[in-house]
Amino acid sequence: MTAPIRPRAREDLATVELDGEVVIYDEASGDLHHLNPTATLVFSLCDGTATVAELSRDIGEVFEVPTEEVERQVRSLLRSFRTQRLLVSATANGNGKGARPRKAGARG
Amino acid sequence: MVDGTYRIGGERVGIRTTSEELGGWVDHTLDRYRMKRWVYPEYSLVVGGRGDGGERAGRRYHVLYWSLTPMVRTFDLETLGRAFLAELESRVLEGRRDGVYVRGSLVTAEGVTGLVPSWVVSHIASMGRRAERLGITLPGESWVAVDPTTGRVLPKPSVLDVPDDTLDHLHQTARSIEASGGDRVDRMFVDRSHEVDVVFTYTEEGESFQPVSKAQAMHRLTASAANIRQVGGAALGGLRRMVEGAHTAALGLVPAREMVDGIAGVLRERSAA
Repeated sequence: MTAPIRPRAREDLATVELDGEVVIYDEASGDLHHLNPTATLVFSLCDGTATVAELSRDIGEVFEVPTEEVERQVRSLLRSFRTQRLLVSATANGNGKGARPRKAGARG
Repeated sequence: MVDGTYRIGGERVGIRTTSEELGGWVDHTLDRYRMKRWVYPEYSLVVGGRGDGGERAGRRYHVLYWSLTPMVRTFDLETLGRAFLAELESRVLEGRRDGVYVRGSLVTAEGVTGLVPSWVVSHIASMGRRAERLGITLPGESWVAVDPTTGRVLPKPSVLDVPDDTLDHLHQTARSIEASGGDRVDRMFVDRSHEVDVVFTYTEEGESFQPVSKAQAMHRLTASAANIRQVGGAALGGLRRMVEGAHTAALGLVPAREMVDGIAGVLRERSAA
């Protein structure tokens, strides 16, 4: 059985957060990204400690939105982050194995 | 008509002028870059009243063209020459590490400094002296150097290998062509450090001159940096400092008159604030 993925942002990205929106520069590829406040929140939680379901539950609790609804959006954003190569790949991340212990509660 | 070809930044650049005297200055200035092979002129320095028109409202504009696009219109030949040199400098920005080189220009009014995308300048300059009447000083440069540590706009050290007397020679050439004397230098060239008070950012959505998020402004600025690969992540720090301390406003594609009036309005508003 495969362990659930715990999304983790790449640590080599240069990021700047301004008023709840982040600008990301990928020095390796030269790509530049701007995330809106929702995407910034999800990105900031991608620290390799929480599964998608846990992330969604945390966000849902803070914003008082049903977890299922949040999870759809979170998964969509994570797909986008993966496409943009902002996350450590599942393989490099150990597919959840050996991930750092999870911090409690949502940040941001 | 005088023309010549020069190798600048690894590319052949054709330059023509409508004045023998100004052509002499170009040749003197770019002597170390001269090539024999002819290429179609990319830049044209048109001296008002000599050749390609430039007449407007009874006065003669001198115009710097890039291809067919007028980049700078001015009544002062020194301004034209300095704008031309600044444009050539912009061809050798990529390898530089002494600042973050952003495609943008400073405009000032009532002691307030704004940074606008460079294309805006020729757009609003097409309104003749309306900008000047509104108290706006337009720039003669289409790139700014941002200090990565402070976020301030700095003078750009020249990297072109030109003679030390280039500007003196330009001054003399301009006086000899404009026997009756030209205007004062009527464009702004960055010769000291500036803090940017307003960052105007092009947006496809949203209403022009309304506030825009600082991150959006920073994203646009970073995307327009010529040497981001050389400066790397440190560039973000400098641009962050710039936008953090500035008001950030949207600019859309609006008619030139609306553009110049809107920019003047925002700068005035910040001056009063």
